[in-house]
Amino acid sequence: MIRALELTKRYAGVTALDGVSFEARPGEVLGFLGPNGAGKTTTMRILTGYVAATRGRVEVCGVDFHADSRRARARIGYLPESVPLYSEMRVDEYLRYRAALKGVPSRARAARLDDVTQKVGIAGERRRVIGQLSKGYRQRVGLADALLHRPEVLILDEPTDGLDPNQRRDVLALVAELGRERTVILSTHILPEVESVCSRVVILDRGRIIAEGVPAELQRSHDLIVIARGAAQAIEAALAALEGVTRVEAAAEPDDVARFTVAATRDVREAAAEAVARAGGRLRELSPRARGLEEVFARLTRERAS
Amino acid sequence: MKALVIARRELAAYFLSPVSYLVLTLFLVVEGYSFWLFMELLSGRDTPHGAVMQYFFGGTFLYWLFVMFLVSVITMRLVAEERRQGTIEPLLTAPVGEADVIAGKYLGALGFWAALWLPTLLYVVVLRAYAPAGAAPDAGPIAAGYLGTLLVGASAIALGLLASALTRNQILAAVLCFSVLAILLLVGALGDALVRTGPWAPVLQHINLFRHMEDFGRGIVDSRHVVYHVTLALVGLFFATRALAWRRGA
Repeated sequence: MIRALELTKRYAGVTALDGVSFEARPGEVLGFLGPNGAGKTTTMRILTGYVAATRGRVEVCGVDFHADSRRARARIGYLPESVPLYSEMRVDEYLRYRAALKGVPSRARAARLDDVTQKVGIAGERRRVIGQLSKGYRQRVGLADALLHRPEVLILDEPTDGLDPNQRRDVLALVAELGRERTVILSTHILPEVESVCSRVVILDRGRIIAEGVPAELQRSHDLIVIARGAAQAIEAALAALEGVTRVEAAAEPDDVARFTVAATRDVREAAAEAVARAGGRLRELSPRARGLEEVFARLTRERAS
Repeated sequence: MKALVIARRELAAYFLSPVSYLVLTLFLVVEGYSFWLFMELLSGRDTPHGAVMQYFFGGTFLYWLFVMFLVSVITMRLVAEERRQGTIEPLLTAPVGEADVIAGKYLGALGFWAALWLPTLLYVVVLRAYAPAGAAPDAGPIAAGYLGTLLVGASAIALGLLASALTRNQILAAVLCFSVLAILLLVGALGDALVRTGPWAPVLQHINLFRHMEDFGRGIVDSRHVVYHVTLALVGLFFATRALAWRRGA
């Protein structure tokens, strides 16, 4: 469980974060979405105590960061963006060092190393020098480090950045599994990832939260797909004339059939069926259309810009 | 405890870096040469008499130049490199305090400093083995010389660590460290040489590092010298800790 209250961060006149509040509970994977420079990394860094917020509070499992930063940090596992590691050390050496640093009792260390290296799939790479590992393995070493002290909260900044599609899928599967018993916060700018693993998302733009919710909810809309046989131009005009319809796109299909994508601000299903009939067309299919997160994201960030 | 964990990693990192072996080799060449030089000079017929190790520790500018250079190279990467590589982020987000981080890095560097000087104990062995009966070098002054060198290292490394905590550029850290040490050395030495009377004379005498090592080399362990170096080390470490906290924005 981690809770952020009214986080604000200013750097020399620039407001990187402006009154951001949110909460993540155990068993939840909270996704942080936003264009580059939206404040994702700044948020992650405040949550992990790497930088201090100008204003606002962070609470980790009831421990206030301000009151006891070290105790709060002991409950967090962190994978920083681009995974900085000591390249001259071996994987095993590094993890043993990190375990000692995080206060894992010396008797438990060997078993803990076995456990985390197995979990992230680097059991066979433990003797290798970190500097010679591929990006995917480095990422996993970072994840293993984040898990070493069995933290209740995991914070992962762009965990799939720079990975190939297979590695990306593996890491996401792992994150989803880890999220079952812990609180996970993950940041990314790759939307399909969020759709696949996050139970809730926060969309950040220029230091503010512009949307928050379950991915399916954010994607819900009144948009329709209409497939009809008949004079495409007449049908398109009739649909576009309906109240609440903002945009219609037509695409021709074989046999005098056309497919219309209708963007609407309210429920126009019956009206659309009638409009097709009025224009002399015969309706073949009418279905609701879910917006991709990509679209939601683009619309939200554009709305704020204008 | 956490400081010791960091110190161990830091010390190991020295021995994993090729630069360290370069430093180690250079050190042994220069020190070996200066040992031989003093032996040669002091064993001549019309030369001043004295103990070799006394000159070896601080009798010359060579010693100080090398101390300043070595400490700058040893300390420059301590924090600056972590900042540049970004490894400072996992370090500072682990449940450790800034003081632990600084203390750990300090002890690691001091350990390497001690390891550098360790092989020079062989010179003492050589002196004892070849000295004529009854003329074996006195152990006391030699021990004091090593103590003095450790103390000089203790204060200089703390200042180098502070320099490294202030920047992410190692070269800048090294130059900063070297400059500060050079200023400390010169202010004391030149001041002491130029100002012979007046209220400042005893102060300048006290901070003249040449005098410190001359005393240690003779076997004099002056508590004022010890206090000077310990104080300087604590000041350096305190500000290095503050520099870490300040960079965090706290």
